[in-house]
Amino acid sequence: MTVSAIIQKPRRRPKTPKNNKQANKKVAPGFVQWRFWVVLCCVVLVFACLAFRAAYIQVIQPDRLIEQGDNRTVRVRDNASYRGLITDRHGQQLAVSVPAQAIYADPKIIVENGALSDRRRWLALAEVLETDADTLINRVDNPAQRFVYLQRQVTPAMATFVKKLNIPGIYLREESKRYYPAGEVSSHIIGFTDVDDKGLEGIERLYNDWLTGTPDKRKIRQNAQGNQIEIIEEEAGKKANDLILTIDQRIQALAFREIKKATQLFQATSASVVVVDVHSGEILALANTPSYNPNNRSTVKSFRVRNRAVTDAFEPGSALKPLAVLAALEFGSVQKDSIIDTSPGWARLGGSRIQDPRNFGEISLTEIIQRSSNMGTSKLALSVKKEFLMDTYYNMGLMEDTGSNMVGESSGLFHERSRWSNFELSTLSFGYGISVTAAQLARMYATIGNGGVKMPLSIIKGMENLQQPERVLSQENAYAVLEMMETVTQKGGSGIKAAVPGYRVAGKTGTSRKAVAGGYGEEYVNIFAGVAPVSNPQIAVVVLINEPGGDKYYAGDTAAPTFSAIVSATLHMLNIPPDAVTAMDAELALEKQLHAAR
Amino acid sequence: MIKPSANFNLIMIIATDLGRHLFLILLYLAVIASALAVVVSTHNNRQLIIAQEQLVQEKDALDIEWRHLIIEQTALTEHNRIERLVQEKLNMRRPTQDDERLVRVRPQ
Repeated sequence: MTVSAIIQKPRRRPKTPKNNKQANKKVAPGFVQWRFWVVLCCVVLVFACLAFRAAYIQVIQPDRLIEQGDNRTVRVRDNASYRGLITDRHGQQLAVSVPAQAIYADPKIIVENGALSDRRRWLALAEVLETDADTLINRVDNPAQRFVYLQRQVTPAMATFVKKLNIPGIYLREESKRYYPAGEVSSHIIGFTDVDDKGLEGIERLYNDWLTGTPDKRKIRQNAQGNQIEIIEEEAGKKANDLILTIDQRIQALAFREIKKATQLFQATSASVVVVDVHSGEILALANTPSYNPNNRSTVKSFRVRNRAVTDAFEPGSALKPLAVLAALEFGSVQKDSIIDTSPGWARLGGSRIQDPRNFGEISLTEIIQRSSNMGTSKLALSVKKEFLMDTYYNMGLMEDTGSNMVGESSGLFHERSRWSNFELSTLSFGYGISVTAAQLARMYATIGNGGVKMPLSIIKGMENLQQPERVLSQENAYAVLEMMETVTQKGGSGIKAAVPGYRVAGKTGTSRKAVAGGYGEEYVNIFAGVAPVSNPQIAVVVLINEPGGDKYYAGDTAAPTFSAIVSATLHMLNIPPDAVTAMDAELALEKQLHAAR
Repeated sequence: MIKPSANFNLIMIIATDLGRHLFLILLYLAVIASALAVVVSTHNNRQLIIAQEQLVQEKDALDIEWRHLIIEQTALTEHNRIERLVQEKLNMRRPTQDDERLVRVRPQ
């Protein structure tokens, strides 16, 4: 019933012209009160209902619809965050994260959609995952499970293929994979991460928090086309930081190649090399063999992973002899030009015998180092107060961490005791009874090369170090011993193969027997440690060859040539001018003299 | 009730009525304008956000490409590989002491 219908009531149309009189009578349109009210009530009720419903939705219980709306439009997106880069000192990348995908399955969805019936797709998937289709199906054929990783860190090409297979319940998830372009060359320093990007070894482990970032999260609203139309909330994640190492990858690559060659040539168990900048204590190269490829660790045995240059301590043997000379010079019991009587070439100290290869007679300090005289260093060590000798060893950093903080770093082996027999002191002077790592030895030589100022070793560029530079030797004595050590690489020295043409090189060989239970065995450790160039020391290098298995087991034949090759190339790369007097220099000097005469 | 005047003109009546409430009209127009401005600015805002999103995606894609390129570059320029290649293909070697000529910059 419409409103107009009500108002027109009663609607009487004239029926016949016969009733004309009656028809002419004006009939006022009547107003039916009750109808009006009924209709009004209905209308008001309808609107009241609408208003109430609207209020109910908007005010009283809006949450459900808001939630429904948000479910359709609000999304959380995160910007992928990758682990920080690790670069060498010149910015060459040594560790880079790239995006990869993880393939995972939701078995419940797979079973619900009956995806297993399409065997052709599963065969294709199994083939690309390099597994058997039945094994694969067994893994996902359990509707109780909701999440199974099928493969982690797959390449984008593989991910696209899997996506195109379009199997219900098989999904991809963004993750990242870490690549080490330098491979085995720097693997001991850098270490590696696990599949979840957590550092497990080396720098990756030490600076895990620094390198790890968290993704930026954005809460956004999207329209029907999936375009982002409103940013509701932004949460900035922690930015991943990069790391710059002090390593020079050119030197590192070369050093690694040289020791790898030496390891094969001398059939050694292992070898290590440490190259240190003497002025700053920065490690320019640190490599070990055997090494491993950090990009594919499926078959890597744990012994290959050890960073031997900092974890393994050896008795350094003669390589410590310069320290005995230094201690005596510092103490003042001898002068630079003192002559020590080493005859008859052997001595008995408290029931044990120490001896030289032959009787050297009366020799200078220089000759003690050059000929590696056990008698000479023993006499020097015993001429010094015990505490002073111990302090010298301690001050040179042989009983403490090098400061580089590397994972698994050993601070050497040294048994502190209150009473020392003369024999023990003399063995200490030629490098037995104390075990040091290659890194500690490098630090000791760097200290001598730096004119007696001990620097903490560092591997991270610009990282604040806890240890402070410390003067432990007088500059005069440090340089004096350096010049004495130069004779080792000259004619008549034990390390003549360590000489580098064009440069003055100081160094010391060390051939020590390895201690076994109850004495010393038949295995050797060959060490050559040195500093170059002598006139302006820049680098300290330690080459350690462990258990050479071939005919050659003297450091002068194994470690020395390797040392020479590494030092020669390193000085070239660092662009350090040759300091040895050459024929051309002599010619120039002569010419100048002639000029002056005219 | 107002008695309809002789020259009844609807337009005139509306005009005079409007003339009496100029301020209200102004407010009305302002409301309309502001409503339209809201629509326009929301639209612009969305366009900008869409553009920003595209740029962010582009940046991510470039970052990924950059990372792949670094790996490729570092793998190809690995020092030991270069040394081997120049020795084999270009027959080069490291200079020895004899090849070097030292030029002193400072006059002696």
